[in-house]
Amino acid sequence: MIRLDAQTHRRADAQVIASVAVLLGAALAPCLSAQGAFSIFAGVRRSSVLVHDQIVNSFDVRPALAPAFSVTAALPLDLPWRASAALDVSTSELRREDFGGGTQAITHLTTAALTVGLSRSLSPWLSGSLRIGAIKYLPSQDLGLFQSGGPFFPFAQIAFDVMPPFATRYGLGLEVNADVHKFITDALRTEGFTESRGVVRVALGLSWTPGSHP
Amino acid sequence: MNPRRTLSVALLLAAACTTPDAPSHTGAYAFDSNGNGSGNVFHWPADRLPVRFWVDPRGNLNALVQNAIDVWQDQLIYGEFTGVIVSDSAHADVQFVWADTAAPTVPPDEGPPVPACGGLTQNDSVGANDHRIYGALHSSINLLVGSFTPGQVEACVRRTVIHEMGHTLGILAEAPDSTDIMFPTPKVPLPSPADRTTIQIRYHTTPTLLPPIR
Repeated sequence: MIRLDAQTHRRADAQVIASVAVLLGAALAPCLSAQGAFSIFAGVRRSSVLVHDQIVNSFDVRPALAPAFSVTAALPLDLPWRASAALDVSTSELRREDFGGGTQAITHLTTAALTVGLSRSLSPWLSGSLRIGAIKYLPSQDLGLFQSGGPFFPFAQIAFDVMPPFATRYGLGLEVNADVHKFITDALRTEGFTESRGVVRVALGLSWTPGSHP
Repeated sequence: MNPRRTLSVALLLAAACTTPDAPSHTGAYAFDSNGNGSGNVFHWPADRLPVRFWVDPRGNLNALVQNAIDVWQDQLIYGEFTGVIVSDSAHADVQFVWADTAAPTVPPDEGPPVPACGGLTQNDSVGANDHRIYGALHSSINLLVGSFTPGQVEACVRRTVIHEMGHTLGILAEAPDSTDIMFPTPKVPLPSPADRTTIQIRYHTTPTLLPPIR
């Protein structure tokens, strides 16, 4: 019964995120068709350690290198600023990494972040963005570390998009983004952790802005 | 960079770099077969997870074993143990049975604990040369004769199934304190902090016994 409830909550969380994304898209679509743009990002993401603990020997818990995807909708403000809203998702295995060298899979972990932010051109080939929002952890099972489900955390992200002239004609860019949030779960509190841990994630990949090329 | 922006970036980085201390995992009791640190130690290795449990279909033993799996999974938050109930006893790692009569399925009594049942966990044999356990582990639950209410029996069986599962997971000794679920006649409904630390240390200590071959 408990597990069924947890699955129901997980489905509900996914539905909320999907609904927000759809509503966001629907709300922005008329504006975007007139003067806005949206872009898609695909890349890989590396996360810093979520938990460091020592039971006999020291070990870390962190997500494996993860594919990362995001969709960003942007509207022009007073030049050179743009307002943007983004949904960012990455998914990979959560692992325990023993200091002796062994690793063990704990569960599969997806993160979804919804952000709003500001972007501006920093040079003809470089733009920068600052985004804030919330990140939700979505474990495949409500077990162990995530026995009370996946938590929400406030979230901040900075991104740079490099668009060399030869790629601009295709709407392509090279994006690097870094984000930061604090992480702790109810299970970790029960374990004796009293403070949340700062987590930094860095992603690198290609961005594509349809229709932006001349 | 202006001073305010520098300060903001510094604060963000400081937040990201928070590294809480690992909690102390102390208070464990002896978990080896002699109960004094000189005996054999055992745990299910990562490549044998999930541990397969087969359960006597009579009464509500299935639900009680599932509860015990959930309880022990929640003590090991870093993915050290997962368990699953299987329908084929021939492919089980652990078998849970009623020694004779099944207990009636009623809500557990919430009054003071009454020793209305007993339990036993044993294995077929251990190889003298290869230190391997042979055959599935067997846990049996027996009901004691006396003037117990069905609710008292149910509460006792619930505690005892968790206790016997603790043995099958590697706590081969009995706990010395009556506040622990691994006390010889368990009086508490759930594992104590000492039980939790003991099973955690058990799963981060190299075993001397190998698991049965599947």
